[in-house]
Amino acid sequence: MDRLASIILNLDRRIIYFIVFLCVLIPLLHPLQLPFTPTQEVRDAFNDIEALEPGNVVMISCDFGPSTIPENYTMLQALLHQCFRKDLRVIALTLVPAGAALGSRGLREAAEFEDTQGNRLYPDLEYGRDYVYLGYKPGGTAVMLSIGQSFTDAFPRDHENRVTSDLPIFKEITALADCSYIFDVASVGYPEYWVSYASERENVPLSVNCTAVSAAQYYPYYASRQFRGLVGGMKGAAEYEDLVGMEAIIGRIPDATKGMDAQSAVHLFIVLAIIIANILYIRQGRQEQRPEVIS
Amino acid sequence: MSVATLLGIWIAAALTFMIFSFLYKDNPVYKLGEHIFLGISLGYGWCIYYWNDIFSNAIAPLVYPEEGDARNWILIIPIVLGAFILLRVIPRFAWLSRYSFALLIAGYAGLAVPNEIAGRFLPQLVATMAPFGPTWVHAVTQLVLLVGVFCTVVFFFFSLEHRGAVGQIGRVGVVFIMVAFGAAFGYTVMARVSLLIGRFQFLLYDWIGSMTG
Repeated sequence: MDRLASIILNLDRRIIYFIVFLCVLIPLLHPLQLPFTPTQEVRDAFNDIEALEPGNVVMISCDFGPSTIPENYTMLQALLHQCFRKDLRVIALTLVPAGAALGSRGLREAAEFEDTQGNRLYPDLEYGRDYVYLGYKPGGTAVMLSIGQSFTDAFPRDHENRVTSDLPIFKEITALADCSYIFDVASVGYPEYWVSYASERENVPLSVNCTAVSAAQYYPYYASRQFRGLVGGMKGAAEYEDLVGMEAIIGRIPDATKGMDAQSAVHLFIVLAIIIANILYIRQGRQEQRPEVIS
Repeated sequence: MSVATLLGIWIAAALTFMIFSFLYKDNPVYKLGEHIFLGISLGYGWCIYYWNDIFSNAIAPLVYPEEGDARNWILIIPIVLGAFILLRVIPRFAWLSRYSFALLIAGYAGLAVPNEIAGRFLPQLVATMAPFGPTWVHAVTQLVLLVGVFCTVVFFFFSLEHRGAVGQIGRVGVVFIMVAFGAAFGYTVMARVSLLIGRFQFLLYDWIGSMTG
C-alpha cells in the first residue's frame, strides 16, 4: 500500500497528461451525449434575445481572439443564428485586433449558412440592411463612448472599407441608444467596461459570453442585473446551443455541445486525482508525524 | 477544399504538434513553434494597428483626405504629442513625453471617474445592500453576500491591528476569499480543458477530416 501511495504521489506529470489526452480523445471519438441542463444565467440571456421584436437591432462586440475559439466562436455562431432566425438586425464590431478577422468570418458564416441541400438558410438577409460588420477600432472605452454618439462617426468605413453612412441600417440607427441589446462575446476584460461606458450610460441591456477563466469574476454583475445574462465558457456556449436548437439548424451536433463529454471526462479525472492525492498526502503526513517505536 | 485552405490546416496541425511537444519536455521544435507564434502575432498586430490606427486616424485624413473633405490639419497636434512619447528612448528629450502622458492621464481620469462611479461602483453598492427577499432562499443568499463583503473588506482594512473581533472577522473574510479563489481556479481549469478540446476537435475534424475527405 505504501509503495502504491509513493508511486501515485510521485507520478510523472507526463502520465497525467496522457490520461487527460485519453479523457479528451475517447469521448470525442465515441460521444456519450451526457445530459446537461441550461442554467438560469444562460436562459436569461437567451430569453432576452427571444423577447426582442423583429427588426430590433442587437449590437455584438466580438472581443476575442483565435486562442478562445472553442469558448467564444461557438457562442457567436449560436447567437447569430438566433438573431437571424428571429429577423433581428445585427451590428457587429470588435475592440480586439485579433478579433477583426474572426468577427467577419463568424458573421459571414452564419449569414450565408447553407443547409445540407445547399439552400441558404436566410436567403433574404442583405449586408448593410440586416447586418453589418464594422471591424476593429482601437481605443476600447473611447470607442464605446464614441458609438454612444454616432456609429458612422466612430466607424466612417466598415471592415471592408465601405462608407458606413451609405449603408441603409445607419439611416435609422444612428447611435448605441437606438440598439435594443448589447451582447459582448469576450475573452478579455471588456465586459466590465461595456457596463459602465455603454450599457448604463445609454440604458441598453447587456449580456455577456466570456471565457470560463473570467466567469467567476463577472457573477457580481449578473447578481446586480447589470449583466442580464451570463454565458460562461464552453459549457455556457453548449447550453446556449441547446436553447437555440443549433443541432437542428446546422444538421449536426454543434462544436461546444460535442466537447461537453470530453469536458466532463477530464473534470471527473481531475476531481478523482485531487481526492486520491489528498488522501494519500494526508496519510503520508500522519505516518511521518508518528513517533518511532523504540524496541 | 482549396489548396490554400488545405495548406493552412496542415501548417496549423504541425504548429499544434510543435507546441504539444513541450508536454514531453522542452525541445528545439517547441522553441521554433513558440518563436513562429511570437513573430506572427507581432507582425499581425503591427499590421492591424498600422492600418486601423496610425494610417486611418493620422495619415489618411492628413495625406489622403476623402473626396470633398479638407485636410485635417488639427491632427498634427496629437501626432506631435504621440511622437513625444517615442522620445522617451532619447534621454535628452525624454522630458517632452511628460506633456503627452499628463494629457493622456488627465483625459482618461476625466472619462473614467464619472463613468466608473455611476456605472459600476454605485450599482454594485446598491446590489450589495438590496432588501432581503422575496423568498427565504434570496434572503439567505443576500445575507451571505452581505456578510462576505463586510468580512472581506475588514480583512483588507489595515489601519487596525488584526486582533480580537477585527481578527476574527478578518478570518471569516479569508474563508470567503478562499472560496472565491477556489471558484476562479475551478473555472480556470474548465477554460484550459475547453481550449485543449478545441485543439483536439481541430485535429480530429479538420486535419484528419481533410485527409479522409
